[in-house]
Amino acid sequence: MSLTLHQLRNDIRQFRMLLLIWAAFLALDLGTDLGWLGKVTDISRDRPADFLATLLPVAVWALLFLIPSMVVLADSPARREGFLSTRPMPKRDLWLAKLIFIFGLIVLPTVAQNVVYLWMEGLPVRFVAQGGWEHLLWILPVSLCAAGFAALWRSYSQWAAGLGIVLGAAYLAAFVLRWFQDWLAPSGGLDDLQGMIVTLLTMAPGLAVLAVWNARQSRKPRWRWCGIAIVAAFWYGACLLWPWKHIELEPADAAAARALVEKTDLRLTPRNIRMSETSDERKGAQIILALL
Amino acid sequence: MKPIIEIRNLRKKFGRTVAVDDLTLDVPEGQVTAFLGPNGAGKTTTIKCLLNLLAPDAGQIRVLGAPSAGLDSAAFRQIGYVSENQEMPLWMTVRQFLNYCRPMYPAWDAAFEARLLKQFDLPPDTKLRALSRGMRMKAALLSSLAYRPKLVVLDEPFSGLDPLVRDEFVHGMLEMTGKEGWSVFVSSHDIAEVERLADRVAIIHRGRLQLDEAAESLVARFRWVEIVLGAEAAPPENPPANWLGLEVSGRVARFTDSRYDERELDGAVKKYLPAAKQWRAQPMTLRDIFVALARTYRLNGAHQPAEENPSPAKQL
Repeated sequence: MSLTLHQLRNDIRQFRMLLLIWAAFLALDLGTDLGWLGKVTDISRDRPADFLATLLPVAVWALLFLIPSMVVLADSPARREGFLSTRPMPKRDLWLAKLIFIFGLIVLPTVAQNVVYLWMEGLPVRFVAQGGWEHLLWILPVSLCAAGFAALWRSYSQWAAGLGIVLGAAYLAAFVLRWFQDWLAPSGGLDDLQGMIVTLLTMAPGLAVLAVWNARQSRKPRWRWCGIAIVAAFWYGACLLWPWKHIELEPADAAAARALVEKTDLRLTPRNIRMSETSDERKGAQIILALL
Repeated sequence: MKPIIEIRNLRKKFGRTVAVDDLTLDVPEGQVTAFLGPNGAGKTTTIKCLLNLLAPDAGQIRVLGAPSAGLDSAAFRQIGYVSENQEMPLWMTVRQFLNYCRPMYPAWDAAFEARLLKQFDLPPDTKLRALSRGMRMKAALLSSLAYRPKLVVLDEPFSGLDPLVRDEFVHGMLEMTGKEGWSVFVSSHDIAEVERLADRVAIIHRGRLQLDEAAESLVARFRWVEIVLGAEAAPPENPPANWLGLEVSGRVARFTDSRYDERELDGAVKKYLPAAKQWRAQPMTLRDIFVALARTYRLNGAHQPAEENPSPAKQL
């Protein structure tokens, strides 16, 4: 355990600048959501979007993927000549330290930020707790997936190339799949299961590239990490499919609520697992908060 | 003497290239073994296999009495490894680096660390990134010696070091191996530096072990021979196998005798070079021996790729 803490302290020291940036972005994001950093206009109504409000969530999500990747890549198990490869740092201590770092300094602060936001918006405790829990279910798999994916690569440049290949392959596959959209979902729009299958199909070329690349490496234990990345990806998928009772901020009187929404320019960033439905939920949140 | 490293029939391929082929070698405990070979001979691959940084395709390796594939934290507490290719946490200062390493080793000797720090003249508050290559190697060496390991593995430790640093490095290693009785396995193509350190010499060429012998006996059995002929003569058609690199130029013949014995050499000279008027045999340095052997290996197998070379490892 002492070596775990020793490694954790070392990781914190190494990534202290990145952690400071992370904390600043979380605070800015919270401040923007709460309206402390200026009034934010609603993009959905074709009004000019606030630059900060548009950029911040993207930056937060990028850091949420980037920081766990950096922390793992610093001592990547795939690296033959890595400093710790020939040092008596037990793998258990090393990876426990990395997990504590990711969970304690990346995942928990994000969830805490969400909880603070919901609480500051005056939502009942039940909604605050549920919102925090749902956010955790979304954040944790993403961070762990990022960490698992990073563990496959020897260097930052290889990781970036691998990520580019996976994303490029997914984009290409998605582009091709659009041609078959009518055949896949004649009624228009995909349900959750179809969406999951399509997601996995789009990931398949990238995963195939990864598998081939890994098969050519001489260090066999890397397969273990490949497995972890795939399990994390499936966990993420399962979280998407699981019938969670999301914070459904449905108005009691839809017409009255809509009228209230029309009167206000306040936008509440959605704090929900179903990111694809953000615009509806945003409206729902606005409505319910207005009604509360 | 009990071997601290036992390598049996090690084979490692990269694609179609055989980097190490059927290598069998014992590294005795308490001695400095120099593992020599030209660039690309397979030294680094062998070291990576024995430290479990690469998985061998065939063969067995035992380090400190245990299979290398199972080297764990407990084993690495007794092994010090310094390599020219080794990554280091460059963002740390020397002091932070040592503070980082210290808790990993229960046997870390702080007084010894302080002494080495002074001896290596390392600036404690300078970042590793800002240090020269030589200073960085010294920092790596310090962090690999301060816990008094049973086995020290050095892979091309002199690469890129200036002569002064090399001298300090060798001097420091000599002093400490003498005092501490460490087992050292050092790979290098820089023979002159290793010569001062080595108790034993192993030479690898194209992945195959060509020689494994105590440095003293190696130096004792090799001689540079120069023969003055009475008249110009052609080189003998089938000279003895221990006459390496025989050249006849005008009235002078030169070669390296790999099994020197004064009486036998005198008889052989009379038999194979009857025109010989006089000869003299000079002792050779380890570097000269290595060059003579490397030249011979190259001549023997210059046109054969490693994977097709059928000749077994031979003791010249």
